[in-house]
Amino acid sequence: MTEAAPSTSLPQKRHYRQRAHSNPMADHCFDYPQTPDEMDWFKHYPEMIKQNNDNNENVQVEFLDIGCGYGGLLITLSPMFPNTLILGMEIRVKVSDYVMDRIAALRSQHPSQYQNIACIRSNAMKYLPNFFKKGQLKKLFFLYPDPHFKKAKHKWRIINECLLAEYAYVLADGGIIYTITDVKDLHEWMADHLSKHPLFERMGEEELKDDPIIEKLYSSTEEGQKVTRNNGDKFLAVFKKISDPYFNNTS
Amino acid sequence: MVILYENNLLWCAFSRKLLVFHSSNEHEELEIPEPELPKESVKENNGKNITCITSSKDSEYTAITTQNKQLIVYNKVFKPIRNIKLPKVANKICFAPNNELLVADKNGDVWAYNVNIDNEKPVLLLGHLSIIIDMIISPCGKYIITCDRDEKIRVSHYPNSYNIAMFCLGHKEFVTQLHLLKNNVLLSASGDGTVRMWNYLEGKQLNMLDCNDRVEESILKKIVNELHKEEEIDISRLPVCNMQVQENDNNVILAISLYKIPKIYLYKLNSENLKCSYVNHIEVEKENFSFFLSSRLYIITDKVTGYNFNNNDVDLVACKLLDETISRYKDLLNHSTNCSTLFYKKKHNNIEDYLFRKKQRLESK
Repeated sequence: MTEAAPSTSLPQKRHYRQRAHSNPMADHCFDYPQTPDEMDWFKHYPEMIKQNNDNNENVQVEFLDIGCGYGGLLITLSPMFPNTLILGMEIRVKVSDYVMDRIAALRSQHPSQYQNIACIRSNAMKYLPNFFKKGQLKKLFFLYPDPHFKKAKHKWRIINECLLAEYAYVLADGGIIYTITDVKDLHEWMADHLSKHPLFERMGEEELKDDPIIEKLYSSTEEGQKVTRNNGDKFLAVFKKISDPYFNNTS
Repeated sequence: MVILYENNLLWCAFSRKLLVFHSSNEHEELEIPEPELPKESVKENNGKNITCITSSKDSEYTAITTQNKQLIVYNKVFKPIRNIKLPKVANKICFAPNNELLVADKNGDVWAYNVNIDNEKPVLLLGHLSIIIDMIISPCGKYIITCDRDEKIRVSHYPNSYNIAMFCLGHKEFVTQLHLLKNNVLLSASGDGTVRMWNYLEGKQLNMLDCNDRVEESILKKIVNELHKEEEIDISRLPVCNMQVQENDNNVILAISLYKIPKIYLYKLNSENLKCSYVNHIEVEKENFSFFLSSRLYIITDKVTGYNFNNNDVDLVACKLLDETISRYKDLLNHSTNCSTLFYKKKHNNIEDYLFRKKQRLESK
């Protein structure tokens, strides 16, 4: 969408501040491909993707950070998974632009690094199937999402009964959803909805103890660091996508 | 006006009247019970007109919904057996082969009602983030197909509808109508002026018919300009308002109407190779009309005209009884189904403004 600032310096956050809430139901202007095959990933990952190639022959995005905020998780994960394409989606204009400028600056300061991360401004509640094929993603992240406290706004929450079907659609079997929040009520809401959904199964501590990503969820994002500064609690819930029990029972 | 032709019965609803025509052309008017409401909440002024009609495949049940959120179910002998109050206005209803009634509401949610048990709570099957415009269930009963204002066609498993089988993507505007051919090819009509044909389990578009091809450039321009002036909507193609499909062997007839065009375009579709050829069009005398396709094409304005298909031509046929009956109710006729609701989005661009200010900031350094 945008070009980075011509300088190679990191963007300053003060130019990109924006209120924390966005109405996901409004008809904002978004650029999105009509189908995943029409998506031009080359412009987002120029060193990882071959231009003009069939998307099927290229490496595909496998990790998606929904509501990536200022991009802290992307930058942390980049060196941990150098061969995996990682995408952040953020709905707010200025915040997503900050992440794009930040990645561009990091790439110019550290040649051949940070080539596997990118950010797109989009509404994940509406356009996931436009970007990703069925079962394409391995990991989905929901870090410190907007709690939308008011009851009337609960339908705007990024995790809800009906949207989970779309997340299950883009996730491969065995794919993982990570959620973390400092709002206890929202944590219970997310864990409850995911537990009730037949395509997701909660992962226990034993399963998670070798996952190097877990500790990063507490500290890598700007939102997480703010909670730490305020001595707030953080609640984690991690779920795995399983095959449909309806077919297992009937076949 | 709402029309349903199913199991050799023709159902016509205008305002709050419901008529059913038997193949013998006899008709009867059905009783529509008033809502059973607690007394304090009778304050709804949104009208009480019938909005949807559907029949079960085995013709055991017919259900209707109304603007005042009633869901009424009739049995085989046309007696009302259920009178349910819906939480939201229904946009589309259909019976699954197991006779569960599916109700797509204004919010984009689909609820399943068991019509055999009184007061049974409905089950939420699935939800779209925007209004569901049409919904069908596959004859095998394994898939629900829904389409919405956001250009999407969603194929969900049934009854495990939390599991999405596929999305059929490609339409560039709201999707208004779905139809399954006998060979399981899905047809979809859209605000982008096209009808598309799909392998819906693979999400693969097989062919496309551009229904604007037959519209004169000057007429197209005029309507587009009017929409731009009156509604601030910018389009280049006229939306498909109604698509009726009639299938005989490999030959499928499509009857299509477009927004503000008083014509019905007839196409022939070969259901095997999905090649489409234009047959003819019929001029309609009035701007507002309804139509439906059985073995004949019937056009309803304030009277009824019938046409027979004859190779590449259409012949006017008499349909005196239908005409006489419907003319009797002409004060109640309201052809609102001719696309009175357009589902275009009001787009507000908040990006360009931001980028302009950013450019200024960077240049002033």
